[in-house]
Amino acid sequence: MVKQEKLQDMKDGTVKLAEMASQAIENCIEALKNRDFELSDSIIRNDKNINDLYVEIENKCIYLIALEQPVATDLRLISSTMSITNDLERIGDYAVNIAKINKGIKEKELVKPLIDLPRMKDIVRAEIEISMDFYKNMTYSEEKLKIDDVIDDLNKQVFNELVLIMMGDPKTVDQAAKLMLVGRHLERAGDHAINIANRVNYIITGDARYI
Amino acid sequence: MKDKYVYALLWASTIVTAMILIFILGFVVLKGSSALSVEFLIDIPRRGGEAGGIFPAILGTFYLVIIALVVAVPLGVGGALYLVEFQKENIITKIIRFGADTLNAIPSIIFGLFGFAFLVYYLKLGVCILSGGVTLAFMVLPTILRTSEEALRAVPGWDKEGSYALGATKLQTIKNIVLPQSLSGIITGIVLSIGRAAGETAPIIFTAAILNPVLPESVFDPTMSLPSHLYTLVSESTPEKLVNAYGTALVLIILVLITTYSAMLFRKYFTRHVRR
Amino acid sequence: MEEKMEIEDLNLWYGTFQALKDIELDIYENRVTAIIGPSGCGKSTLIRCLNRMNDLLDDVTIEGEIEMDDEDIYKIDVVTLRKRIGMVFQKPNPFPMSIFDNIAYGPKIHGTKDKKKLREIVEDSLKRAVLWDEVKDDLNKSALDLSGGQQQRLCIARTLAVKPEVILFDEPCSALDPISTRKIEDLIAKLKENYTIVIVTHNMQQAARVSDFTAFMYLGKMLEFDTTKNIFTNPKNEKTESYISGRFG
Repeated sequence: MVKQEKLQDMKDGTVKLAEMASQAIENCIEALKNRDFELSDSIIRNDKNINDLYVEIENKCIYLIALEQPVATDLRLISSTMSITNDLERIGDYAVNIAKINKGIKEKELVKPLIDLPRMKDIVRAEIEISMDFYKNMTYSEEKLKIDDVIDDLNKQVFNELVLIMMGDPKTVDQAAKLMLVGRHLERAGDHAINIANRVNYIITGDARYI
Repeated sequence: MKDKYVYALLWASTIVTAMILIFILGFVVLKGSSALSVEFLIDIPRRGGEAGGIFPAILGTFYLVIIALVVAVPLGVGGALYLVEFQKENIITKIIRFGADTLNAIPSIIFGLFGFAFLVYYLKLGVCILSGGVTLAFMVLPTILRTSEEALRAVPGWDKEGSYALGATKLQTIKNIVLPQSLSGIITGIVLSIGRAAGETAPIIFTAAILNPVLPESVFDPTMSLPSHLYTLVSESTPEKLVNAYGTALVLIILVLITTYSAMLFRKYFTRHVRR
Repeated sequence: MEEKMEIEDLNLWYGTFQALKDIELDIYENRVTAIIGPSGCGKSTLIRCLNRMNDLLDDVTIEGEIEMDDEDIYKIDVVTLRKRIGMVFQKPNPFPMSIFDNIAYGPKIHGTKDKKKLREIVEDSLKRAVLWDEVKDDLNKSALDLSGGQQQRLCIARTLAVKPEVILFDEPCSALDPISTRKIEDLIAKLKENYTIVIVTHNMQQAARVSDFTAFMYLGKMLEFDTTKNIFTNPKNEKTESYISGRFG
């Protein structure tokens, strides 16, 4: 059936978009850890590809709605995909923000070794992977999303440590403040990943409470 | 309340009609069955119709009907085909239709007179099967034309469209779609005509009929026929002749029934696929 | 993408009433072109011009040019033209004959007599119309005993049997239930690989589902023609937008 092929094509595109966003998140923290400005530049450049793919998928969704009159689950799938790809594009934007922050930190050495931020990054990537797993298989499990609580804890920890560092040496304020922003960006990226999972729950149940 | 009276009236008229039919048939069967025998059917009349059979009359009626159909069917069906398929609906078609309907109403004796004046006298054909048959043909032509026309018009336009859309020509469409589907109605018209042609006395009495029990050898010979023989026997009215008259009537009725029934079977076979 | 048929400056009158006004339309090969519009806009009239079915009516005046493969269709013999351009009607119209005879009708008319060849054509056509499996056990059954959806597929098979290049569909699903409609839409999507298709429909969603190009007609004029994608996501004419949004017609 023609319609199923088109839906699969849309889903495949979304999965690819998720991979690109996840990779960007990975790279932006790696670049920060290694003070790799070239990597940061490539993240910023690559964001165009993410945006293009996002627009392409959104167009596909619009055409599917206009030309095929989907209803019920198909309709929820398509409208949710538009929302999900938007979340993924935002995640890509956060990676760009972090890359720009990296370039903005002039010192070679960081005020503290990066331990918690990479952990947060790993959790964000795990959340993206879990959500996309839900999306691909149309399943949902609240249990698996509990790791989001860890991000909040880690972020608080980062915040407190950086405050202490700032109180110790005024020259570190610039960098420390920027690192706090990195934490915030990662936390927001995690929120978007959770949104994706909730959207899948909506597709499955049709209950708008879950959005 | 009123409904009940209407039902009663309708019911009564149906009963009366049925009873008249049964009465006439019954009367003829009763009075005529004694005359029936194999001899009656294959022997020639003897002693002026008092004895013997009615074979020449049977044969003659048969020939007359054949000639009538041979002339009237092509003209009637062909004319109807022309009116329906080849002519736009206009004043001419209305005139033709009106003319046919009028002709239908003309008393058969007038056809007889016309046949006599034109065929027997003017064309010098004399009193013969040909004259009688053609006269009968004129008489039944309007019926065949009108019933064929109705039947042809009843062929649904979408079947014809379907045929044209496949690239068929007009003639192919007529041959494959129009005629097969209208066959039922056309045959009905012909069957009605057979009954009339076989049974009318007036058209043939001046144009074909004779009293001598001679078997015709060609269309240019005159012949006996069942209705004219019946007329003769009744007008000479001896008891034996009367019995034979009923017998003749019975034979006529039976022959028409057989023909009609065969035509119905024929029609059923050919229209087995047609929508009802 | 080639133009299979081109219509230029087409005007048509039924008596004194002008039903088609200055129509311009390109029909692309191996694509589905849909013609939509409110009742009475002239879409059926237009499609019937393509295979000259309007010639069968009295008092019709036609001006303008219609070409197939760059040839004026009025210069081609009409019998050949109708072989190359087939038509499926709104009300399924199988002939009152057996299924086999229905399909063999076209080829026989055009001269095919060999029984083996006819059997091959009948089987091939029924397969292309996705009807073979349902009727192969009794091809002598009367076509009138089939269901509405089957009858319409039979009519499609009948058209396919004469091997047309273009197939015209005049509201083919109007008289059918939704499941049969869907089957026929799927069939049309498949057929466009080998044929050029023009479909008239009053069902906009059908036009959206099935066609590559859509033409919108209103009161005898062609107001807009574009890819189906554009017409249904971003039409340029405001009447087109009103119509497809269900605001009139």
